[in-house]
Amino acid sequence: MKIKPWLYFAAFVLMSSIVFWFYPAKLTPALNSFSTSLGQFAMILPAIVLLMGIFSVLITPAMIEKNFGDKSGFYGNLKALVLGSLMSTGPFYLAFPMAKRLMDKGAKISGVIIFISAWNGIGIIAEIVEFHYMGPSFMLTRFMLNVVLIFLSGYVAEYLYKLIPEKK
Amino acid sequence: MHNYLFAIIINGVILAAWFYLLIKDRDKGLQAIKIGFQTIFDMLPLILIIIGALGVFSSFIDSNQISQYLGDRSGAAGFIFISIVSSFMQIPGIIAFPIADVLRQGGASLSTVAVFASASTMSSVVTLPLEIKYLGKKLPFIRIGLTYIICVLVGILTGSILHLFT
Repeated sequence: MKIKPWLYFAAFVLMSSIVFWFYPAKLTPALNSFSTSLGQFAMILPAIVLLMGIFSVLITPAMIEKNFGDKSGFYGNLKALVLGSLMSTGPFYLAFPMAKRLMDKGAKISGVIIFISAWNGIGIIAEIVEFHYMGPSFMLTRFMLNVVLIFLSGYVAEYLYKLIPEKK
Repeated sequence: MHNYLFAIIINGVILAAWFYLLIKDRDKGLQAIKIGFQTIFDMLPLILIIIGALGVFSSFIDSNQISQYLGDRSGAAGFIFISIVSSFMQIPGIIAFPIADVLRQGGASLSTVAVFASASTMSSVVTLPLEIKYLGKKLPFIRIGLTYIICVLVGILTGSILHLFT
């Protein structure tokens, strides 16, 4: 168990207590809003927990690296998009060492960029939460725009990457 | 206004998928639920802080103030401000949406809510040093720049499209 995040939480509780010591009238509305949103979060929690587990077991780094391929044309990039979106919502900074390994293995810039962006832009687990909170029209509109723009940005990134000389 | 039908359906579907995995490969199924609980438990303090802070925030700020600064009639300043601030943050997707929901209910424009959702999850200036450590300087700067453009476009277009149909 990581202890540091809980210390932050304790600090937050302490600070809030001080605030409400001075503004006792605000306590009830704050607690009401807290319990409502916690309840709303709890409704979707079983799905999140299970899906994070399922994705971590099935979509391993080894599986990603095996499926990524080096000659990523249109379909390779499409695969990068899908693989990225299937990453569990683990800590996002894990994307960078993985991206490096992929590049070392000869993956194209476009595929790597699409993979990183898809990981944190259109992750399936986050999209489920978005649907739950924001409703279908908001989620689907943003999702489709994201998919198209992330896909295009891979090609632009690769073009720029070749255009700009490496600075030491 | 929330429809909990989706939550019930998605919980059912994913529970079924997990049972399927458990039957096909018992070890993987058990490992999945273990990792799932471990991950959510590690995130729990952050989730509680964010939801708690939203509670404190909404008890002090009334929605007029949100809509005044971030609403449809507040012009581009609020949108640009949110796009820049959230580009610096790195918020896990599952926590970004409770925040986005509070902004929307407070009367922030849909474009602003969308740019917040996109930029806070996708663009992360705070992790840039780490990214540079692994990928060199060139690629991370190209990526962050392009991501910011994507987020702004997604924000503007999401707002416009939703306004068109409602």
